[in-house]
Amino acid sequence: MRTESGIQDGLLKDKSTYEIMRPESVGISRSKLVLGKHSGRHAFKTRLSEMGYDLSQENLERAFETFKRLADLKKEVFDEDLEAIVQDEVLRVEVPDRYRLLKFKVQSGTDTSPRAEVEMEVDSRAVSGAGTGDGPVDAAYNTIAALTGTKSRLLKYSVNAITGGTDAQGEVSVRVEEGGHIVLGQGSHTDIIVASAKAYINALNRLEHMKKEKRDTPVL
Amino acid sequence: MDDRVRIFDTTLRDGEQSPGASMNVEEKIAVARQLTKLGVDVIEAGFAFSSPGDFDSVRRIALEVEGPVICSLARCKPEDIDAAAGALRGAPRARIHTFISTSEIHLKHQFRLTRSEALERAVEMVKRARGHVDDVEFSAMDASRTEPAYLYEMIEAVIEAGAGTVNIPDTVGYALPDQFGALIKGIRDNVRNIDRAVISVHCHNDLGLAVANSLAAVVNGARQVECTINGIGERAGNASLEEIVMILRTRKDVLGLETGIATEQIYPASRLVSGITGIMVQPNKAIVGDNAFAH
Repeated sequence: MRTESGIQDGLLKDKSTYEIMRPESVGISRSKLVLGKHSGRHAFKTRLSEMGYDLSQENLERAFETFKRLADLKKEVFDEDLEAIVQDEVLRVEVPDRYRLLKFKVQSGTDTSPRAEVEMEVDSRAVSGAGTGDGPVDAAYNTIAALTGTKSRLLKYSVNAITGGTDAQGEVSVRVEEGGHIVLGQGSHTDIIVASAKAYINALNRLEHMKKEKRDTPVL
Repeated sequence: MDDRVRIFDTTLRDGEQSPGASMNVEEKIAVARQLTKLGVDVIEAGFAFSSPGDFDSVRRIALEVEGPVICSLARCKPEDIDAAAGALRGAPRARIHTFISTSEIHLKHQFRLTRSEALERAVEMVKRARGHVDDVEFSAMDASRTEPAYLYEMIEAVIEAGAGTVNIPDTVGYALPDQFGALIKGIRDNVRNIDRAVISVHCHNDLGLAVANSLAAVVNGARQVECTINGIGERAGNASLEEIVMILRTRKDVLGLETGIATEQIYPASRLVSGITGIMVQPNKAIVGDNAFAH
């Protein structure tokens, strides 16, 4: 809970001075629970459940492995990190996708021209290729577009650190359009270029899904 | 009249109509499970006829999520009603929600039906739905721009045909709170069999009045509110569930009404939906925004 400026004193004395509702009453906790590499399965599962994610045993295992890998990379694992893990590793991959990222490498910097090497699965077939661009994201996206044979337009790209700290995970959101269909794609990773590639591939999968789903939406 | 307001969540149907907000079936099930923890009365799981994906989502939620009533939307067409019934088969508690427009502007330009044709079709489809399930809801689309006398006639006829819930949508978000409240009062005063049905409202937020209009309706006797987590939905969105629920709870002293919502599940639900849809919550959003409890 954030509190700034001079009203703190009154607030500390009596919470009802300014608060007509308590944050706990809507499920916002005043203290942040942090997990780390010593946290076990049980703590992990309990926290996820409190956050609204009740996973099957199999999905829980998959998410837990990702959690362990992440906890090796960064010291503290926050709720936001857990959300990203479940969304990336469980919910988004449950439905069979046309496109999947297998391996990925980029080079960029002041004295080199940006280049990406991508290995991915397209309709269960492994394909690979390399491409260039005016930056690492452009290089990655050009390569992915070539490998998937897609002709979408990137309308918006944004990256956010999902928590504080230089070791935070980056979450990339993209808005992609093709043939009048607009979708959002998301991906997170401690490496923001990898997160960018995941977000783009997520958007391309959603576009495929949307193209198949010819639908008549009512306005109610 | 009872003092219990039913919460009908349409995050998975109207909420999914937010531009770019498509959810896959696993994501929808995750949201439905959280809505169950939240204690909503009804989950509108989708519009079964609209696509195979939607049919499958409704079907899986109907089979895998237990607690709330699971509902599918259906136009007043036999194939829609039958698809909804098919998708809901096996659900312990199922509802078919059928709708047709009642406003002159929609009937003339979109549906190309006369008033009496629309009324006849609505009655026939409510009966058809009742042939499949006991719990049927009827919506008079664009109700807030409908001539009241015709709206009363329509509502009376669908209740007679077996609708247990009659929904009054402000489809284009045009109503004002006083006006919308008066419309609900008008329905209570003029529809003879209204005590045999629950009055519901479904407000859109084009003028930022979705919650205010829903509240005015509840004060005037509506006992079901259709809403979404974070207020997502087509265009400017729907009435926000968390705001409606916390208004009723925080101002129970004046309003004297309650919901069955476990309010401490609101924030997890909000995070879950924004994470899955990618639709961020504005920092100054009431109840669930980052700054909502900052001083």
